[in-house]
Amino acid sequence: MNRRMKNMMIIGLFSIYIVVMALWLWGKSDIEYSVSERRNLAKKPKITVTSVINGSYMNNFDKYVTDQFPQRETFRKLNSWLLVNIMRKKDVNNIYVKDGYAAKIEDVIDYKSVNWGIRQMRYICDNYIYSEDYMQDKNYNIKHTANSDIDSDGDIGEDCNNSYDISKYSNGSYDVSKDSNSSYDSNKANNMPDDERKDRVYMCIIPDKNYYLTDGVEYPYIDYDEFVQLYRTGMDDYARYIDISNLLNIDNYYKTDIHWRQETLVDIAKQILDAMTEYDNDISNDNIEDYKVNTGNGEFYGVYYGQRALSMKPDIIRYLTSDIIDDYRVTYADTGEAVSMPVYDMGKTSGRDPYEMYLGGSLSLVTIDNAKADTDRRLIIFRDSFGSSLAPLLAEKYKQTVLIDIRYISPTVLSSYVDFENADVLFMYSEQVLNSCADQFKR
Amino acid sequence: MLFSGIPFLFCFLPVFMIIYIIVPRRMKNIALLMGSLFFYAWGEPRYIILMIIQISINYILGLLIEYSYEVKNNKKMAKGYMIISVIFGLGILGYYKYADFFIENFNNITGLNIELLKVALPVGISFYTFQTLSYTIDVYRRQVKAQKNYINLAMYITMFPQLIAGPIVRYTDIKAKLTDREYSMEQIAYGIRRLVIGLFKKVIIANTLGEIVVQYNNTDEKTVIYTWIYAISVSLQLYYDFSGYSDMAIGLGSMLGFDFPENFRHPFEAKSATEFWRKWHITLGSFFRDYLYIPLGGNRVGNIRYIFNILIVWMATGLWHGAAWNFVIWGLYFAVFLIIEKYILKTYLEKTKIVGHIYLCIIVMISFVIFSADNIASGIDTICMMFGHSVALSGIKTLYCIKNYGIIILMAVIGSTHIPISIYMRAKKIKYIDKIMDVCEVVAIMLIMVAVTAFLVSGSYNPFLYFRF
Repeated sequence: MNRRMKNMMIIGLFSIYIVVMALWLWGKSDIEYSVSERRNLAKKPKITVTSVINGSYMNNFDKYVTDQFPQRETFRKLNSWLLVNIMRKKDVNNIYVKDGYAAKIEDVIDYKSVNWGIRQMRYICDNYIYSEDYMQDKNYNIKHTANSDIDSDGDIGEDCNNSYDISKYSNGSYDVSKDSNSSYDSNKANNMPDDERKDRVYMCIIPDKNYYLTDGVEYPYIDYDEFVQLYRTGMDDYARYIDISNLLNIDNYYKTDIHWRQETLVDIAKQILDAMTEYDNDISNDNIEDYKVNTGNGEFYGVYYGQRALSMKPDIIRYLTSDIIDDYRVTYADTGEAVSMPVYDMGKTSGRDPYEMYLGGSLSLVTIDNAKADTDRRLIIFRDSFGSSLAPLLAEKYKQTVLIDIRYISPTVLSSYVDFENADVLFMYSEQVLNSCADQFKR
Repeated sequence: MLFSGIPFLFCFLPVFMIIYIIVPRRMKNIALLMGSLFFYAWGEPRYIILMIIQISINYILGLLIEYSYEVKNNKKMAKGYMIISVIFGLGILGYYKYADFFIENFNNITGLNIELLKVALPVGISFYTFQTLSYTIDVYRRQVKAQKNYINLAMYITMFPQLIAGPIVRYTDIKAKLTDREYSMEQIAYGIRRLVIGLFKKVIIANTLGEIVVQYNNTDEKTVIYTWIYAISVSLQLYYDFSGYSDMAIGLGSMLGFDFPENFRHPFEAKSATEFWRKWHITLGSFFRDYLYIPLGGNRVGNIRYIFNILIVWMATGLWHGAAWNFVIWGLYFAVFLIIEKYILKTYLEKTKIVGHIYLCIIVMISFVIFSADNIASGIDTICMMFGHSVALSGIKTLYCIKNYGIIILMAVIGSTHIPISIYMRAKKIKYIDKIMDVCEVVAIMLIMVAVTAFLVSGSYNPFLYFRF
């Protein structure tokens, strides 16, 4: 190839590439939603004098053409391939794959979130569970003192009476023995006898799959035990902790997704029910029902699949049914009125997040009524999406189970919607959510 | 608008290049001016008027300086107009870039509470202000004639390839090209090569190194080794970010028929700070040399005056990079090493190249830690950690960083030397291999362009560090 030919090739190929891609970009119709990333793609911005002057039009245009670029998914996969195979990166967008499982690297405890999470749970306990009425019923003569400040947006204020302060551990050198001097002072809960004050409230933290996938040397991760200890200490006067970490292993999790697999959780449900019924004679702790394992529609590409943008085999989503579960009456009240819904919404298995099939996914208030229960006790679960898949199993032993997601409903308004009287309360969250709740919940 | 963005590469560039190619030769400057104004307005619509005012005033002052010489034969009058131009240019720059810095320090010293102006910094103001200054000063020095054609002068100052992050192209460098440009396939192909290489340096190398910097800043495991990785990464990131931008600017200039000056020549291969600054941001260094250092007397003065000159020039260099004390310290830090090298180390460093190279790498890495710090205290903390103060040697996250980014760091280190070019040049000299290399070069350019697109479309970390200057 002579020099002239080489120059012509460079100019020609480069020009063809940018012109063809430009024409393709402008000629193709816009795509509204990215299935793999589970997000709406940017739309063409409307041009106005104000948006041009303040620059927002240009910023939005930048996002628009980047989101709508032709063959975007192919380019995303190419990017991941280059990072892994040429630049030899161990993770892509913080997602790594080991033994066929994708997991997200999270290696820093967010003490702000820990502090925030504990404050929320304490607020709920103080105002709805260990309330003045409750304690008067129990003949505890305690003056009501802990009334948390509430921000205008419904958040529980930083400077309220129960401002638990975990910042002293922010250097990571956590020492549980120091926690006897927790900054949480005057509270009703502290004045109750040990055995009784926690007889209705339980807490369970679901380990991230990192805990089972890596030893922390190959890929850094948050020390689950240290993380749990922070919450246990913060909630020590309020809740009994139910440890499920020994019953889980990596097989309990989906390969392409953050979540656990419902069909593997029967033992977990038993463990939690055993713990919650240990102090309650109203509830039988007999073995829960045998289940039938059902397969959802189609293939399940989990959240990590899209974030990593690399080829992985899809999972298959499964769900458990039984005679009792089949008879559940499930309602949600997000619109103000109770609306019936199925336990498993099969329509969502082909939607943006198939995991939302379990009790409808992101709903603030869901109630499961179990006519076949042999007790009148009720269970209130504060949960994230992990709880949605486990709740149908737990609900077998309760007359009514209420699921609350405080990402979508402020704890300050719960008394209008939920009756805490004679209910067991379970705080059940995943490690990832509890480590990011300061930002995530406030959204 | 960023060169390394989808809007520029796949919207602006193809449309502009088609227009630029099809308009007649006499209209090309107008097309380039319009394109450049659109390019600037896209990112900074509010300040386009400010830039046009600066261009217009310097256009008039340039004519007045020449008028003072040729009609009035009055050098003092010409000097007066030149001083007005300098005061005006530095005044605008001072207001937008340094006013709050001085108010803040004034408040700290006096205890007063004067309200900060909080004006947004117009993109590229440091670069185009220096270009306007170089124009009027050169006219005053009679090195060039004043530009009579407003379009030509405006086009020179606003020319989009170099408008917002340099290189600082002086009027004398391209005055001939303003009216008489040749377009050859050789030049356009060279421009495309430089553009693609610049994109590769910026989008693939610098942005990935930037991830290390961000992760280090967020980690709770700051160890000695991790801090050194950070120092290496931040130094290489700055180099690839800025030299990548300069490559793109030079490439685009070449595609438009201009020859812009080189801005970097493998600076990390230097063996002294003096040599480093002959290879790093060359156009800025030569600007300060010609318009500040030499007018102050340069090195043809006594020792005290020489040291004073060096300190002034490097304090100005630091301040040019940003209105914060860490930039001032960064500039003075280099001044100290330049003085030490001149009086003590010069002969020794020339003799022992390896020692000189290690010495240079260490002082440059430390300098960029200062440069990148949020404030002086955090910069000092990081430097202390580099030398083991109160931190462990290594840890799990440190090892993971090495495993995760080892290859990219190695690629970046090798790429910052002349080794890849030497290999290429040697291969080109081998019979038959040169033909294969030609084909490989074409294929490589296209593959890199596709890879760059993939990185841009996947989009994450993509700032331009030198925009803030």
